[in-house]
Amino acid sequence: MYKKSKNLTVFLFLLPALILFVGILVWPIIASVHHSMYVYPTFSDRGDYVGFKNYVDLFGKQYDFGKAVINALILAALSVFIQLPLALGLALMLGKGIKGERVYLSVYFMPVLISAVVIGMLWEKIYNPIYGLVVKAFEFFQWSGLPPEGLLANKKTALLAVFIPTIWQYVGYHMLLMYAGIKSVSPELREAAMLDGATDGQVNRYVIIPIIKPIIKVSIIFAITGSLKSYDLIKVFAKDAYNCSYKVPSLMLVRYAFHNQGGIASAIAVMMIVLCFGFAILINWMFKERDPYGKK
Amino acid sequence: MAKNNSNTSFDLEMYSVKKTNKFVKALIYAGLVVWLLIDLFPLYYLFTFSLKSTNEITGSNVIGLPKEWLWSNYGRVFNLGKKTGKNPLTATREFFASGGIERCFSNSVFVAVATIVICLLAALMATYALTRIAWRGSKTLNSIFMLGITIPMHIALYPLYVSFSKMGIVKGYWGLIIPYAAFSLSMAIMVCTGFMNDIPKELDESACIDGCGLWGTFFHIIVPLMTPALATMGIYIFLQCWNEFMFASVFSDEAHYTLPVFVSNLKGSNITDWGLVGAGLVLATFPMLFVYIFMSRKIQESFMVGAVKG
Repeated sequence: MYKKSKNLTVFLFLLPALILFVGILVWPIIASVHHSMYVYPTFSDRGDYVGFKNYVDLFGKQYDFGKAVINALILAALSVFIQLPLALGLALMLGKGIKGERVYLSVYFMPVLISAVVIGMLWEKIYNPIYGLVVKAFEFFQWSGLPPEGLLANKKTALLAVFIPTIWQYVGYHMLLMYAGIKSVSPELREAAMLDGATDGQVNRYVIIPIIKPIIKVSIIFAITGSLKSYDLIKVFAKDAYNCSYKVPSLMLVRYAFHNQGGIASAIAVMMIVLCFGFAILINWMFKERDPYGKK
Repeated sequence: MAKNNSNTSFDLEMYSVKKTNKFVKALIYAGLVVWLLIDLFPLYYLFTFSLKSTNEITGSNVIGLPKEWLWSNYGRVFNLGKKTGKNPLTATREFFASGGIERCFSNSVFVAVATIVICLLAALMATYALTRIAWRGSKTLNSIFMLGITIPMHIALYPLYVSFSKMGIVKGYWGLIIPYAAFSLSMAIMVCTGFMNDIPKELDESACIDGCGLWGTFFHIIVPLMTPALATMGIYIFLQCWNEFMFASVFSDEAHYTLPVFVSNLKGSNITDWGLVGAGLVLATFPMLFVYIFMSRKIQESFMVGAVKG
C-alpha cells in the first residue's frame, strides 16, 4: 500500500519534466528520422516514402550538404585552435592575480550577453565595403589587398569574416570557464612549485593546465557543437542560403524546412544530431586516453 | 587570508624564487589591455554611430564622437511599426511588431519569465524525485535527462512546427515558451542536482519523523533551500531566451516578435539609414549591459555553474 503511493508520488513529481522531455526532445528526434524518409510536395501532404534517398540527395550536387558540413568544421577548427588558446592565455594571465582582475574579467565576458543578431548587424556595418570600419582603416593606413566587394562577399575571406565576430563574442565565455577552473586550483600548489624554482610558464604548463583539463574538455565540446549549430550570426550575414560561401547546416535546415522540403530538412536535422553526439563522444574519448589518472 | 599571504612572501624570500621578469609583466598587461580595447571598441563604434547622421558615418567622421548628437535617431526607432505618428518606413511596417519596439521588449520579457517558471518548476520536481526518493531506475533516468544537454534545438524545429501548426499554437507565446523550457530542462536538472546534493539528507529525515509527507518535505524544506540554485539557473535561462533567434523568427508573428527578431528586421527594412539601425541595436542591447554592470558576479556565476559541474 505504502509502496504504491510512493511510486505514484515519484511519477507525479517526474510528470512535468517527462512531458516536456519526451514531447519536445525525444519525440521530435523520432519524428525527424521518420520525416527524413519521406518527400513532402506540399506542407500538409502526407508524403511519399523514399527510404534513404533524401540522405543520398543531400550529399549530391543539388544540395551540396558536404560543403555546409566542411564550413562548420572549419569554424569548429578555428574555434578550437585559435579561440580556445586565446581564452586560455587570457585566463592564465588573469588567474595569476593581477590588479583590476574583476574589471578585465567583466569586460571580457560582456559580449557573451549580446544577442548574436545584434553582433551580426554591427559587424556587417564594420565590414561594409564602402563605409565600413575595415575599409576606412585600410584607407587610413594606405594598406591594400582588401577585396572590393567586401570581406563577407569574397569567397576566400567570407568564412574568416564570419569567424572574427564569433571569436570576439565567445572568447570571454571560454575565458570565464577556464578562469573559474584556475581559481579553484589551491594556491599551495602554485607556491610549492614556485619554491622548487619553477617559472610562471612551468607552473602553468605542469601544474595549472593538467588540473583544469576537464574544463578545457568542456570548452572544446562547447566550441565544436556550437560551431556545428551556429545560426544567428550567419543568418544575419547571409543573403542567400543556397549559394553563400559560408553556408552551414542550420542555415540549410531552416531554408528547406519552410520551402516544402520537410524531408530534406529532417535529414539535415538527423545529420546534425549525429555530428553533435559524435564529436561529444570523440572528445570525451580522446581526453580519457591521455589522462594518466584515468587508467587506475 | 592577508596574514597568510604576508607569511608566504616571507618564506618565498628565503628560497630562490624566480620572480616574474619585469618585461614579461609589462607584456602581460599590454596583452590584457589590448583585448580590453578590442572588446570595447565595437560597442563604442556602435554607440557613436547611433547618434550620427548618415553623412558623418559614411565620410566625414567615422570613428570620432558625433559632432551633432542626434538623439532623434532613437525617436525614430520608437516610431517603427506604429500606425500613428510620422513613420519613415510606412511601406515596411509589417516587418515590425504591431506595437513597435516596446511591444517586442515586453514580449521578450514575458516569454523569458514564463519559460523560467515552467522550466524550474519541472526541473525542481524531477530533481527531487531523482535524488531524494530512492527507487529503481532513478540513475538511468537521470543520465537519460543528461543526454538532453547535447541535443541541438534545431532537431525540433521542423517536427514542432508541423505539430504546433496542427494544434494552432505556432504563432504565439506558447510556441516559444514550450520549446525553450524543454531545451533548458536538462541543464536545469543538472544544476539543481548539484545544489540539492549539498542539502543534508538529515533534514528530509527529520521532516519525515515529524510527520511531513514527500510533498510537504518538497514544498516546505527543499524549495526554500533551493533559492540560490533557482536564482542562478533563472538568470541563465533568462539570457538564453532573451537572445534566442531561430525559434523566435520562425514561431512568431508580428504581434509576438521578440527583440532579436525586431533587430533582424531592421536589416530588411532600410540598409542605408545607419543612424536608425544603430539606435535600434543600442536600444536592444544596452539595457542588458546596464543590468550586467550591477549583477556581473551573479551573471558570470550562472554561466560557470553549468559548465563546471558538467
